[in-house]
Amino acid sequence: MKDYLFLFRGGDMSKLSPEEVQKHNQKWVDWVNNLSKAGKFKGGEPLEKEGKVVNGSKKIVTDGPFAESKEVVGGYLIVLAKDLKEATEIAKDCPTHEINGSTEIREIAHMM
Amino acid sequence: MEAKSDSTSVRLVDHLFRHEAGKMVSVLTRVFGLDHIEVAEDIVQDTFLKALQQWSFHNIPENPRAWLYKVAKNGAIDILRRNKYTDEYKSELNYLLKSEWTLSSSVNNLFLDSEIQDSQLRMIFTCCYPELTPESQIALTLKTLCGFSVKEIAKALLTTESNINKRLFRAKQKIKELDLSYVLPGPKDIQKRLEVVYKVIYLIFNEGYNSSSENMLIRKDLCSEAIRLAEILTENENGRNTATFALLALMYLHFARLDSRIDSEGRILLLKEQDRTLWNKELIGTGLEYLSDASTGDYLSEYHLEAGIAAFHATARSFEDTDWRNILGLYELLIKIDPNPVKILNRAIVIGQLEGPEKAIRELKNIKELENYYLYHTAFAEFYFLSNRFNDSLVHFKKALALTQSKVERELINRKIEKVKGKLI
Repeated sequence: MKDYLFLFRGGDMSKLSPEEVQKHNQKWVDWVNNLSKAGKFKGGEPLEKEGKVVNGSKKIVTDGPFAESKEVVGGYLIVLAKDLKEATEIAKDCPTHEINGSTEIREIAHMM
Repeated sequence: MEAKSDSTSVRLVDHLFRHEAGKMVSVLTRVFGLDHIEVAEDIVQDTFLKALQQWSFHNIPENPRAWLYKVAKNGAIDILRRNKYTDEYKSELNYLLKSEWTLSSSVNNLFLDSEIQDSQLRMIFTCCYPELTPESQIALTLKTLCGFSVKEIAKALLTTESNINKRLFRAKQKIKELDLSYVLPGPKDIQKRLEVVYKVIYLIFNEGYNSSSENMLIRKDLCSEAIRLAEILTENENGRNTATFALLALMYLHFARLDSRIDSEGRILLLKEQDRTLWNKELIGTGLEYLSDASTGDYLSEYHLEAGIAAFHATARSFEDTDWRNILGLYELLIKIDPNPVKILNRAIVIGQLEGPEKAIRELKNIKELENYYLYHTAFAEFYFLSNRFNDSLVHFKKALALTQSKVERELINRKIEKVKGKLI
C-alpha cells in the first residue's frame, strides 16, 4: 500500500443555494466516511483561499499564483491505495467533480 | 489525523441550510439595515461555503446550527469592525456597534432564540409590504426566508431566472425608495398586514399544490415552505389567531392529498379516481386540529370556509360519500365574502353533484368571465358528457385543450377526448 496525495482545485460553489450546498456537503461527508471505513483515509484538511508565494532567490513575495479561482487549491487529502490506478478510481468518486472541480493525484515519495 | 468513526458522524437534518439561511438573513438584516440586505445574504452564503469546506474533511459538528451561527456572527463582526467609523449601515443597534465594548455582545444577543423568532417575523412582514407587487412579494419571500436560489425560484414559479432577478431587484428598489423599515407592524396595522401575509403564503402554497410543474419535489417544497411560514406566525401573539389556524388547516388538509393526485406515470388523477388510502392520515389529523383551533372565535375568514370544504373532502370515505350538501353551504358563504368567478365555477360543480348535470350546465352558462379558463370548459365538457350530449362535450374539451400548455393537463384532457370519441362512434 502506498500513500497518495489528492489536491483539490476549483469547483464553482458561488451559484449554489443553501439546499444544494447542504446536499453537496453531505456527499463529501459520506465519501470521506466511506474511505475511512475502508481504511483508506489517512488525513486531510481544507485550505484558506488567501496565501502568499515566495519566489526564487530574490524571495519576491506575491499574493499567490492564482490567476483564476479554478487554480486555487481548496484542500488536500491523503489516501491509502494499492497503486496509482486504484487511487485514481477513488478520486473519481469525489463529489468535487460534480461542481466542476478537479483532483490532482500524486504518490507520496518515501525517502529511504 | 484520526480517522472518523461512524458513531460520531452526524447526518445533516433535512433542509437545515435552507431554513437556517432564512433565520440568519433575517437576524443579520437587523445588524446591517434593510437597505443592506445583500451584505446579510453574502455573509450567510460565505458561512455555508465555510461549512462545506470544514465539514467535508472533518465530522459534522455535534451542533451544526450553533456552528453556523458562530461563523455568521464572526463574519458580521469583522465587517462591522472594518466599517466602525463610517456610517455605512443604518442599523437599529447603531452606536452599540461602534464600540468594542458592546459590538460582540450586541450581535450575539440577536442570535438568541427569541430574537431569531422576532427577526423572522419582521422579515415576513417586510417581504409582504403591501407596497410591493404580489409577484415581488413571493419572490422575495422565497429568496430571503426560504433560502431559495434565483434558479430554484424560477423553476418553482415556471419562469426565467432573469424574470426573477427583475422582480427581486424591483422589490429591493421599492423598499429603498419608500425607506420602508424593518419592524413589526403596530397594533393598528397588524390585521391589515396579516391579510397580505396570508395571501402570499396562500399563493406560495397554491403554486406548489396546483402547479403544472411535473417536478413533484419542487411542488412539495413550496407547500411545506408555505406551511412553515404560517407556523412561524403562530409563534407570535399577534400572529397566533384563528385566521392563521384556518390557513394552516386548509394547507395541511390539501397537502395530505398531494401524493394521490398523480399516478405512477405522472398523470393527474381526479378526486373521484384518487386512491384514498394514499391520503396522509397524520397530516389530515393535524389539519383537523388546526381547524378546531380556528373555530374558537367568532371571526370567519375565507380560509375558514376553504378549510371547511377541504375537511369534508379529506374525511369522506369515498367520492360518493362526500357531504356535498354541507360543501355547497360553505361555497355559498365563500361567494358572499368574495364573488370570485372561479369560486362560482366550483359551486356549479358541487350543484352538479347534488342536483344533476342539467342544473350544473345552467349554472355554468351564467358565468361570463371564464371563457379563457380551461377548467371552465372541462367542467362544461364533463357535465355534457354526463347528460349524454357527447358532441357538446367534445367541443368544450377541445376548447380546454387549446387553453392550457401544461403537459400533464393536456394529457388528461386528451384521455377524456378519447373517451368521448368512443361514445360518438
